[in-house]
Amino acid sequence: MLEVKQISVSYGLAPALWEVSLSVRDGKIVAIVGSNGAGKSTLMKAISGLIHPGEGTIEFDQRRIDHLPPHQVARMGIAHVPEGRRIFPHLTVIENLKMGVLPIKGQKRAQEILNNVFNLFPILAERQRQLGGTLSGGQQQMLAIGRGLMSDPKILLLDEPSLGLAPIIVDMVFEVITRLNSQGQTILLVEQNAFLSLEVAQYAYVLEVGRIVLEGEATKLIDDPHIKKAYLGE
Amino acid sequence: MYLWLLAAGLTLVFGVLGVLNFAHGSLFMLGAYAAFTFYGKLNINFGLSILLSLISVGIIGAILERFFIRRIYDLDLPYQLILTFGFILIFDDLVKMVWGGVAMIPPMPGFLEGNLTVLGRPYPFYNIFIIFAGLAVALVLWLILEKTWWGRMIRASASDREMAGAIGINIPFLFTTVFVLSAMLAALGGALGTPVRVVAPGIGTAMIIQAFVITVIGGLGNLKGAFVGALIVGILTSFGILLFPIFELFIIFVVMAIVLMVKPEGLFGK
Ligand SMILES: Nc1ncnc2c1ncn2[C@@H]1O[C@H](COP(=O)(O)OP(=O)(O)O)[C@@H](O)[C@H]1O
Ligand SMILES: [Mg+2]
Repeated sequence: MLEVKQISVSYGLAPALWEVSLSVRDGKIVAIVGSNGAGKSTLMKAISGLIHPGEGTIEFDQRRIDHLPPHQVARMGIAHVPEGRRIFPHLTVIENLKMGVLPIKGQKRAQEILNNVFNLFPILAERQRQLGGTLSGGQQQMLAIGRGLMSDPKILLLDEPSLGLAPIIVDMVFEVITRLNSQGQTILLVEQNAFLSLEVAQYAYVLEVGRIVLEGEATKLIDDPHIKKAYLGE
Repeated sequence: MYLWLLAAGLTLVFGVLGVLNFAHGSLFMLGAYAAFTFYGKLNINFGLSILLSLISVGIIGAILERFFIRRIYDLDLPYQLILTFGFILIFDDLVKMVWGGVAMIPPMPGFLEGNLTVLGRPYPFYNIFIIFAGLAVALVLWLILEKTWWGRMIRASASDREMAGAIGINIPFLFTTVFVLSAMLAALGGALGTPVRVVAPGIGTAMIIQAFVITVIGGLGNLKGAFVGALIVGILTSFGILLFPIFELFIIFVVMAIVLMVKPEGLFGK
């Protein structure tokens, strides 16, 4: 459903990605692992239209999206949950969630999705009227994922959902990721925490200084000696 | 209260678009000229003239944003200054060409004539009308921003433009609507003022300086701050004119200096 073909991205003169290709099939969790500064977030931004690749193409449902502005990419069914959550701190929880609804969805559908989000994250239902900025880090991450889900996306891009969270909260977030996937949600997951993401993903890519250096079934990559040494600390 | 209308538009555009629009006073002036033409020249009724002025200046605002202001969102302040200052000169000359350089005072609408006696002194009915108009605008703006879907989008993109785009908000279009709203607020200020103040080229520039002082006092980009700032400046200038007429402008700059010394980010700034 998502095909990234040979894209290169630079910030001004500084290149961040070289000829990166990847594909995500319907219903899968695909993980991208790589250390800090490898270009993972840049790749996510290129997919969601926040930056445009200098070369290469990105196709979604057989349509090119690499030149589209971000709101059009979002309307095609790609939801980006960015690194650092980036919820709207001065809006309430419910307002944050409603921001995620696309204008093309009807009232009734929006209510269904909202119920589903509250089901996944009961704490958000409890704190509806609270300002987003007053939530804890873990709750903000849930809010960011919830906001992404509100658009009823075909694919959910998750950028470092475990960053800065306590281990129990990380487990909870990953449980939700698995649960979403079992409901049929396609997910592209970016993580520095390679072990966790390889455990939930079916397929994975390894990104090192802007290039894909390795790819394969997640279960195989967990046993790969290079991965073990570089990312799993063994 | 004219100042509040000006400061509100200035604040919206700065807070949401990140642009300091020096040509905002020109939109005020255009509103005044438009109202003068519809009301004073074409004898259309006062309320309808104001509405027509808002629509005309709103359209000018849309064109300005769409073709010019849009290009400078990501540029530094000096570029914004050059572009918007350029528009001040263009609009001033345009107005001179169309309406001539002479100051013109349009007549007062009949139903707003007369005085009200407040504490034993006569107080023009029109001033009271203006005060209520200003309060009404404040209320409507608050309702829009806090209670509507449009307002929620505006607040979201003011706090994180990139993220707002990523979740599906059409930022360029939203910004055009915000700029149009701001232009209409300026035009409303200009149009409402026509029966009591001289309509002349350059009236916008005189007002915009005070409006800037207000936004700085209140905290740049903060609407509540702009409202309180406008009240403070309005009250001070009234007293200033009574007590020391020559120092009217001087006083508000002193207030600004004091506020900036005590709280550099402005009264309501973050
Ligand atoms: N906005 C930016 N401007 C310039 N360089 C950037 C910007 N964002 C990221 N980079 C650079 O691009 C490279 C990849 O960054 P990023 O995609 O954030 O990596 P990751 O998410 O894997 O940590 C880094 O070298 C980083 O310094
Ligand atoms: Mg990153």
